[in-house]
Amino acid sequence: MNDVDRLFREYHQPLVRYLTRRLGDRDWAEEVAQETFLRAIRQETIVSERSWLFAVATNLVRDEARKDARRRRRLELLREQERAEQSVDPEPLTLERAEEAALARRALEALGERDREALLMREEGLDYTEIAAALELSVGSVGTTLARARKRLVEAYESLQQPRSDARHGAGAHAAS
Amino acid sequence: MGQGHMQHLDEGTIHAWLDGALPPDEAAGVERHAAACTRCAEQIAEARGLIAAASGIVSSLDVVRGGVLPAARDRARQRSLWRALRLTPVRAALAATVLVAAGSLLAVRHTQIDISQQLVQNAHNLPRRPAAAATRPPSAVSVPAAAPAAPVSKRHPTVVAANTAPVRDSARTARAVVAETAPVAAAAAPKAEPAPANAAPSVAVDSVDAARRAAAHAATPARRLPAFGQSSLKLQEVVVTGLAEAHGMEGCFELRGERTARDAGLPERFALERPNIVRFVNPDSGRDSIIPGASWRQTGPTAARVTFPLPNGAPTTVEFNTQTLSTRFADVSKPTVRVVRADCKP
Repeated sequence: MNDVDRLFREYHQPLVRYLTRRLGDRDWAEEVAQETFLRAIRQETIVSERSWLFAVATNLVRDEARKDARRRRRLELLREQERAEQSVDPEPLTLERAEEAALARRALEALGERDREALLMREEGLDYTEIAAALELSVGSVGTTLARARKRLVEAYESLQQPRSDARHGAGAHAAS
Repeated sequence: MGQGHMQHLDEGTIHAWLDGALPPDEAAGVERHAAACTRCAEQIAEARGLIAAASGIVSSLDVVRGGVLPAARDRARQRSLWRALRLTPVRAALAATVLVAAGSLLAVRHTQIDISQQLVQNAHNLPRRPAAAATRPPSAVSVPAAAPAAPVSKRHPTVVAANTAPVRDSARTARAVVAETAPVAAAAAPKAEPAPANAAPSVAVDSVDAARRAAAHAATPARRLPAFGQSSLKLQEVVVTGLAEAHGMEGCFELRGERTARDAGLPERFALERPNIVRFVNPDSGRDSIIPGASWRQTGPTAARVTFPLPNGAPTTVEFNTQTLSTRFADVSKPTVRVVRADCKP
């Protein structure tokens, strides 16, 4: 197995997952991952493979997000379509899980870009050195970034969840009465 | 100042420690401090909770939990025929309409000549009626021949009673012609039978015209139906044949033979899935992730053409036949590898 194979086998899945979580769109994530690997292939030497791949993928996302808002809207529509199609599959997402995912997405979007990326990279198992390299941070600041990101994510999620839970309690009380 | 040997731990350090990112000596210092400092111990507990909660929130973004990519394969397998054939209800309706129309046209061309010739012949054999004489409406032609005409007239006092027998005869003739040309459709055409007597027109018509119209009325639905029956039968055949072929080349394959540097970018094993998915197959014969940029299509009952993205950026296309065991690359005259079927997990 050559380097390309190994690189692909080792990092494709986590990279696509990271990108899917980051973008909320699997197809787009696959595209960006593919472009990332193509660039990796053209690159003569890569010192830290994982951080390099995640950094390039992150930069591609940023670039695309900046220059291609129109395409994003289209993909958003496709995503909605895909969701609608998934809902008729034999094993559909339960309503609760779909709501959870939507809340999680909104909470994640509430984070700063760097915090979000650091958090998602960490969730993919990148260590602090790799995250620092990918996001051009000092290693010492990664812990602080992650602490802030986690705290804000949980707070945002809970604050988004509160109205729903209030509504449920309200409905329950109404039903009981 | 904090308790123990150092200042209170800051959040970044706590998270770095919990993430195992601190060097051993620093980690040991944090551990010692946490053991002695209640406040920091609480912060550590809180940080643990945050890490777990954040991780759970991030995981809930995935369609499939637990670090597994969404199972596009399963979704693809669960795709309905509509989606597999890229048919929307509108497209299917259009296609069916076109088929039915074409089938009808052909059937009508074959049957219309016989029917019209027969009918015109019958009609010309009828005695011509005065214009004032009314006859039963075309819709009443299917009343059994034995049924007396009188009750009809009673039910419709405005209609002048007339000899309707020839009309009924001609209608029967017309139906007989139709029945000969399309027995299946005639049997499945209850709409050719109804004879609402109250549908009688209030004006009298020439019996010859009435006969023609009656025959036409009797024949029209029957003419359509055999065409429809034939068309839908053809449509079913097309669909079934298409499906049988479509699933022919799905499955797992592997490259055998001596691999050159040029082939290095190709996966050793891969799976072809509908609608257009090429997937890695791992050494345990399990289907792995999708190969981005790769695509395939069936070129014959036992042949397929697969395009893989290669490391140098230029895709390569391989065409292979599992029956003849031939393998051809678009840009290689004498390939040293060949593609054969391989076992893999579903």
